[in-house]
Amino acid sequence: MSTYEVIRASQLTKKYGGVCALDHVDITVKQGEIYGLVGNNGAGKTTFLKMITGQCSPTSGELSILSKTEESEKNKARKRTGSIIETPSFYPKLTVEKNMEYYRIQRGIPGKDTVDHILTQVGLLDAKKKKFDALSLGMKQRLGLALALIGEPEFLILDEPINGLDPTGIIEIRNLLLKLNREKNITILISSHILTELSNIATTYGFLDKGILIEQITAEKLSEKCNTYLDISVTDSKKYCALLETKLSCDNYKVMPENHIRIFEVNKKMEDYSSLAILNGIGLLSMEEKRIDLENYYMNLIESVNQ
Amino acid sequence: MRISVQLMIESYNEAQELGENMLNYMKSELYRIRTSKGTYIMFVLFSVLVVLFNLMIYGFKIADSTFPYGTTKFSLGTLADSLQMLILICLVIASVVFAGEFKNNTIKNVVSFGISKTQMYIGKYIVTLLFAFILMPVVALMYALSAYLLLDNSGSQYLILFIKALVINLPIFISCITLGMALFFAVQNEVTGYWIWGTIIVIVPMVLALIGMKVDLLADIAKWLPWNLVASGEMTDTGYVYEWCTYSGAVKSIISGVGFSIVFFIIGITTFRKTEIK
Repeated sequence: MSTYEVIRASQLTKKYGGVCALDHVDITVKQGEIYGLVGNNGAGKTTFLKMITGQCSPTSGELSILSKTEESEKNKARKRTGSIIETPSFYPKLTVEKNMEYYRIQRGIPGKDTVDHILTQVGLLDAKKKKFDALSLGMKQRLGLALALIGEPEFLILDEPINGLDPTGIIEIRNLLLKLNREKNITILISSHILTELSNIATTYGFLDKGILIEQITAEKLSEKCNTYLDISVTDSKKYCALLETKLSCDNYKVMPENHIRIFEVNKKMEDYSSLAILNGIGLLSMEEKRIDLENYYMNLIESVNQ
Repeated sequence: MRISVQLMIESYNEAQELGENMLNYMKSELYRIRTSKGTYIMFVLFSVLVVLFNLMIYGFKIADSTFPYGTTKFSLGTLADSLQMLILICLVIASVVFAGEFKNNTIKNVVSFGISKTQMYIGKYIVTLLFAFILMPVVALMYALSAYLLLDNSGSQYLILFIKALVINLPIFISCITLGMALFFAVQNEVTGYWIWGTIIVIVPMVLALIGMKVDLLADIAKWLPWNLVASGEMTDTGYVYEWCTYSGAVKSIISGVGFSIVFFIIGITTFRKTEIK
């Protein structure tokens, strides 16, 4: 089955006065992907998502949504999308049910039982008579997701969708998103600070930092890059590193704060590394085999860019 | 020939889709207004106020048999003297329908679904006017009915004056609602919108009228502004006759109302289309 580009951003730039929120970004999201957008606060994630939803316009560059580039066509394409951008917003004095009914009518979605169905999907049916301003943060987030899902979109744009959810809620939403992606081939663009959660579902990652796309990589390739390493804590990291190079011919390592050393190419026995310290009068505090996860990968990436 | 027919069909389909979008948006707004407590509170509040006003006059009439103002002439004539208050109520109407869209940040839900800002602006504008066109006759009916039931009937000419005051000045009320909407959309902050509205509708006309006492040009301009127009008139042998009661005054009122409505509408929609949604 051929896939098309749901989102294509070419040299997309957004400036607010003198501040460049997005700097010549090229991002492609293909049909069926779960694209994880990763970045610190102020990296440009929400700015990018707002451009897709039409809340703001690019300063320069091109953005196509479901292969549409012209603004009126993009508006038509947006009807096939659902989104949560920043905190979910609803009318505070209307109930959950009435808020959803309002948007059901607005979006021309037939069937009055649609609202109950979607609220059941996100676990809010019991709270449908509650006013929006009486909901907890987690419930508001679920309602935002309900709005994104109403109308059965082809493409979901989710900005921090699991904010405020309890662990059970996080699992429920994750499973729901995976189900939608697998069963209905819904494309999902999701930004999150909770990298461990993102690593459970994303099939492609985009790493943003200070408005620049540092890397775009599939989960498969990322997994290949995320290898194991040996984390050693010693009393004298400088001396130990010199010994690593001279005695064990190892130069693929990184010195971390507080005398920690990460050795990436572990081609000797564990005893060799421990005895290297002990026999040369260096105190060995700890030694542990670890794996680079998404968090570490991201931190290393940012560090290497900033250097 | 075939291509132009195809283009016509495509344009028709597009126009139909755009119309459908706006219609759905308006239906949702009407649903929201219909299910909001604030709507009913407003209807009840204004109805109660006008009935209470007539009850108060009735009370005085009962307490003092020589009380000269216990008549429909006084009650209904009071409306003609209170058109500036109705102008202020126009802002309240715009505010109720606008519903704090920027404060609640709900506009992003509309825009992100692909409803254009133009469709949203026009849709909300039409709904606001519909709301005003329902509220006004209901409250006017309560007013007139309670006056005729409780007070001495002075004759149908005062009812005609009452209806004239509302109908002739309707374009002016519409222009004030239009400005309210334009400001809420443009400044994205209702409180700031109120202040700017008050400055444009109330303060500027008053200042121009004041300075106009010395500068003729400003006096001429001031006479066309809604706030001054609804209150302008002259004292005659039979009493104060409002300018809008005359044929030329009525035309002036309508032209001013329609003209300002168009200007405020264009400014509002143009500004909103350039606004970024936070």
